[in-house]
Amino acid sequence: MVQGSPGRRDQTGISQQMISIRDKKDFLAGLIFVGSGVLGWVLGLDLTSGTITRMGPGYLPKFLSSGLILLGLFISLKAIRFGESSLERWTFRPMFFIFGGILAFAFLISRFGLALSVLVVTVLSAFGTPEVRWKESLIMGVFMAGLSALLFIYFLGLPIQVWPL
Amino acid sequence: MITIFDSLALGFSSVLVPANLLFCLVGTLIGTLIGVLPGLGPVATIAMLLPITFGLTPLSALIMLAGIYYGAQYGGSTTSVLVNLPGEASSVVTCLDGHRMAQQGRAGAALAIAALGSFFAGCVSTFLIALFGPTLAAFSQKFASPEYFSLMVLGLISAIVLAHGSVIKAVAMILLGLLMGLIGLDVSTGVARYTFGIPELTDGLGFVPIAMGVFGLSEMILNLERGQNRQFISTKIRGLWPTRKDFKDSWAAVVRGTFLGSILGVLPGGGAVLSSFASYTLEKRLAKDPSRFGQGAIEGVAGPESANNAASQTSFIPLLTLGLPSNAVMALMMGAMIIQGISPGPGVMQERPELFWGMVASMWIGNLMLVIINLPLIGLWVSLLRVPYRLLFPAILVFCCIGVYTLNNSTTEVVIMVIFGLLGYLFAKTGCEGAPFLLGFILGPLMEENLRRAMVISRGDPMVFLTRPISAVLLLFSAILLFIVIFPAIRRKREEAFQE
Repeated sequence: MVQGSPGRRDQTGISQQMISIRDKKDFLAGLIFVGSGVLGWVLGLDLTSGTITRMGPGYLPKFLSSGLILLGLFISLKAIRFGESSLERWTFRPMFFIFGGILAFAFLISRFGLALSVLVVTVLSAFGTPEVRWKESLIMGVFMAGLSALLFIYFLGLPIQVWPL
Repeated sequence: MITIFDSLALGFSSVLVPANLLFCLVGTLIGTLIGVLPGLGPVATIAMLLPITFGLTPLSALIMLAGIYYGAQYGGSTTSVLVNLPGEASSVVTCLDGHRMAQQGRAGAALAIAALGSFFAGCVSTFLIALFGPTLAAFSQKFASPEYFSLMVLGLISAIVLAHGSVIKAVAMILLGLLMGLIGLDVSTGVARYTFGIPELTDGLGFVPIAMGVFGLSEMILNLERGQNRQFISTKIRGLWPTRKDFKDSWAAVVRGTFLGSILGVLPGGGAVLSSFASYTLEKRLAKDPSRFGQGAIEGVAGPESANNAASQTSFIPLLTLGLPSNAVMALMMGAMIIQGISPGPGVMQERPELFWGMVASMWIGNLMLVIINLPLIGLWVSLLRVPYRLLFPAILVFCCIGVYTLNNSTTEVVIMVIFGLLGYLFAKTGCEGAPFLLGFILGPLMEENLRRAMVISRGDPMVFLTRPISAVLLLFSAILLFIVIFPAIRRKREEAFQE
């Protein structure tokens, strides 16, 4: 990570820089920290803080949340003027299919057993890449279902249902 | 009087039984496998396999998990040399000269030096653990809550100093980790914090779903996003054995890498990745002709590969003697120990000597196995690399899902893994490191407990941290480290070091 060096400071005028954020990555990172700090503070409001000598359950949460807010603000504000970075391209295809596959697994496992859940998560997640091949992913799904049933249930004896009830 | 040799003999006698040898072999095999495969690291693998260890004896479980970690350091170099793609984050620098050597037809020499250097480093660092472990454990018996708190402060601050990217973002990541570590019932008062009425959260967020989400899932998505172009060295590997000149050129680098790695491995936040970079930089500085680096200099393979293996082993020292995990893998090892009913710390060596010494002995045996696994069987691992990622990642995902689910038979934890996968992706996109976050998360509850206990002992006097000598020294070290980071001239030097 290249940090803003003092030599990079632009002397041409502030007006241009107020419009564009120079370090977009850091700016976003700072916002995330501020957001989590605010969330931590608000959700911890009903916890009693106590004092430094007699700490309550809310003392550290508030201390850490305020630290996050301050650091986040500093990072974001600094990123407006110093440094240089832009956000990379975000692709939603892998995220959609991988997270979708896992959530499907979570939904299915306790209701329909291991075999079906594994088949579904394998096939669904395989679509996370454009290189996916229909038949191949199905074969892979059946293979993984068999392998995991063999390994986790028959060999390791974990208490999971293989087939739907 | 028990000597180190008696203790080692005890260790070997506990390892040299068929079951433990088998799990040592299984661990090193899995470690090599995930080391060879890019995009699957030891953190995610150990997290995945944690449920499997429930049924094993404590020693077998720890031997296997440790084998995965140092085994991955061996395997990582194979991919770096042959495919120019780091199999493991700690083998990134090995690509520079290792792959160039492969292009020059010297792949065999590069792989052999990496394996033999790693073996030397493994032997030395095993010996160092045996040598310094007991001393450190005896020393840490003097520790009470204030000392533990100060020690963790020092740990977190050195994690900041050693973080790769921006210092201030690392600090924020630690705070975020500490905050998330507080989720669950408050130990002193029993008040529920941030649990939203979800029963799974009362015991705190599970470490495994978080580690798998932040490291495993986000890495997988990034891999898919980037797409992978694997360029193989198509020529067959001829002549595995290095020439006499290769040995002459690289032995000094191996020795230096071993000692550098051993030292950096002990530091919290250090570990295998940092030490391989540091060793490469050191070798380049010391070389008579630095321009050879990047053109296939064998020292550039020998040094870092020895360093990462040494570091992966010495990073067990703080965990086994102080009960303090120094990186994400050690945090998982700590989790594995707790699951087995062992509380990591100085007590382990006293109450369960066969466990400590058994692990030390298993490391030496494991390293021996790894040389055999890696050198003659290299062809097998290379053929594994030809499995395309589009087939690999769904399989990895299946193991992640089953691994997390079977921890507590809880679907909520599977969903938590998804949430942290998303968070990990956000971190990666904004240039924030996951490691300080995880370290903060692990240490958060421990720090709070020790802080509040220390305050109770001292009847609310915060000066207790300065009036107790060991605690004061630890805090002084922390202050010096913090000063170094903030002081601009040294900070610039540090950035230069990471640039290389």
